[in-house]
Amino acid sequence: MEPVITLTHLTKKYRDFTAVSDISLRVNKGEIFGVVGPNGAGKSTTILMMLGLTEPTSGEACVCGVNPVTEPVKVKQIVGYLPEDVGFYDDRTGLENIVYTARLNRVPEVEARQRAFKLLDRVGLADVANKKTGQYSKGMRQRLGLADVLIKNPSLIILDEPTTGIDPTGVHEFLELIACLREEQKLTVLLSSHNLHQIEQICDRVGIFRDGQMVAEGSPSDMSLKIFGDKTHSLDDIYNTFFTVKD
Amino acid sequence: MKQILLTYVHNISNAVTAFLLPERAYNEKAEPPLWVMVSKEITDIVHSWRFLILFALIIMTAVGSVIAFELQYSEITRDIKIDDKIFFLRIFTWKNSIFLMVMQYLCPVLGICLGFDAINSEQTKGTLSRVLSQPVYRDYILLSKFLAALLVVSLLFTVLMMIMFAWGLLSLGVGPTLDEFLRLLWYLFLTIVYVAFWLNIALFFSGIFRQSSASVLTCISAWLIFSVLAALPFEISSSFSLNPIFAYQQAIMILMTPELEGLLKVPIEYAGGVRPTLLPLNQNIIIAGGFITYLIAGSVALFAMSYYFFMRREIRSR
Repeated sequence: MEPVITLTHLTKKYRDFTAVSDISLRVNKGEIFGVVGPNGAGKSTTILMMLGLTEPTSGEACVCGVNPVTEPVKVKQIVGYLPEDVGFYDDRTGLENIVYTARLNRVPEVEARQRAFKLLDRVGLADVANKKTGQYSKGMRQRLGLADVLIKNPSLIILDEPTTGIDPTGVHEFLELIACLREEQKLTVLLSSHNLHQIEQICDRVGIFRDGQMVAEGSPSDMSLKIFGDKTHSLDDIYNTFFTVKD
Repeated sequence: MKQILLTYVHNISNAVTAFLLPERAYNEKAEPPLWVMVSKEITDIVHSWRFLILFALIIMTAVGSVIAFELQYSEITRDIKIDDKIFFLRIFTWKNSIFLMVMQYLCPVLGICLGFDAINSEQTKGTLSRVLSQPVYRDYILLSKFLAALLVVSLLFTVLMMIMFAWGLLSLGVGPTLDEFLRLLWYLFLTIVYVAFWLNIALFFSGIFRQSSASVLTCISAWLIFSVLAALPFEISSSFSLNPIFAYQQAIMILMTPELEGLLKVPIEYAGGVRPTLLPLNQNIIIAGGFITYLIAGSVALFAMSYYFFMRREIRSR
């Protein structure tokens, strides 16, 4: 299996505060990797370092064979990133917004429009393509965000809490779409979320973050076997063993 | 070289078609991302209310000064001697003309309005992190905002000057001398640099402050303080010579009303009652050189500063 993401001893310090400390990780091609952990555990900072949006204090990240610190633009060509609570130009239509993204990726305008229509159809926004994004609901914005990420034909997509604020059916459709895309295009997906149930449904492997460290990593059943001695425990139980308040 | 020119013409014609016929503006070739960003910014500026309002104000100023000139035409021409070497420039500088004065106040407002929320509004909308996760260099964000605003302003002012120029030709029936023409070109150039200076101040604060209200208030207070300082009597205002408004005022005065320049340095009584003779343009440029250099250098320095702060920042969503 060829690795798509390789993190080696990645560390990020803000003055005295260590946001991410000594994280090593490998994500293989075609995998869906879930990242869970409380707020401020260093999930987003790790993601930012993979994209070259922040420089690591020490350690190294390698994404699709490229070092994001030295070649940030090259990384962004092959990685699609959906930040949590993604923003669009509200005075432009959904179509215009993602065509703009495509053109920033050096896709000619005609092709950009064709791709955009196809993707908008795929995420179920074809009928509102020419509506301004200011009128979109939260769920529609997230789906448009997914189209926006996919329009550059990435080989890896990173989704930072993509399902917050969407209704349950919306979440279900969203996750199904991601699973579908993985099957069709052999996409690698890195997904961070607070919803353990969703993560367990869709992810092959999960990393649990606490205070800037990755305290556990592996498929839910493997982790269950390691901690409880059998494979029946849910991710919820596993997660709680790391975060219960001890007397 | 020819190829570059051709692509330029192609790009401009595409932008024009995109503006006039949005449905037909298909482009078959991929364009460089910086150009894509600049053309988006230009569209944003041209469609924004605040730009349209200032645009209307500037047009009204020009039209107003034209009408005032026409109304007092006979009076003005009576005062002007026939051997006046800067006869054509009078359409801009006759004693009741509002054009230069109003432009001097409008330019900072124009610069501020085009730049005060450039960076922080993208941040609050959450589009900054989305654009930055595309394969573009981070400086493109700053550069595209600056270039777009500068392009629009340059185009606007050039067209405005051309219209005033054409009208002057028709109304006076006399063309400018080469000296006068060059003076007008310098005026145009300096005014664009002056707007760029304020645009850079605004861009700088838009990168520093998270709230666009904070950055617009800071810009307006800077403008107010500098305006008040520049409005003080010459003996006092000249001691704050780093004031951009003062620098612009002086440079324009030296270039556009060269006969006043001598009065400025030596009051006429001390000069033995002799009215100083008109200096040629290159001499005037040397005298105004300090101010001109300051405006350009200050502009560049401010851009470098916003660049420095922006490049070091960590961009999180919202």
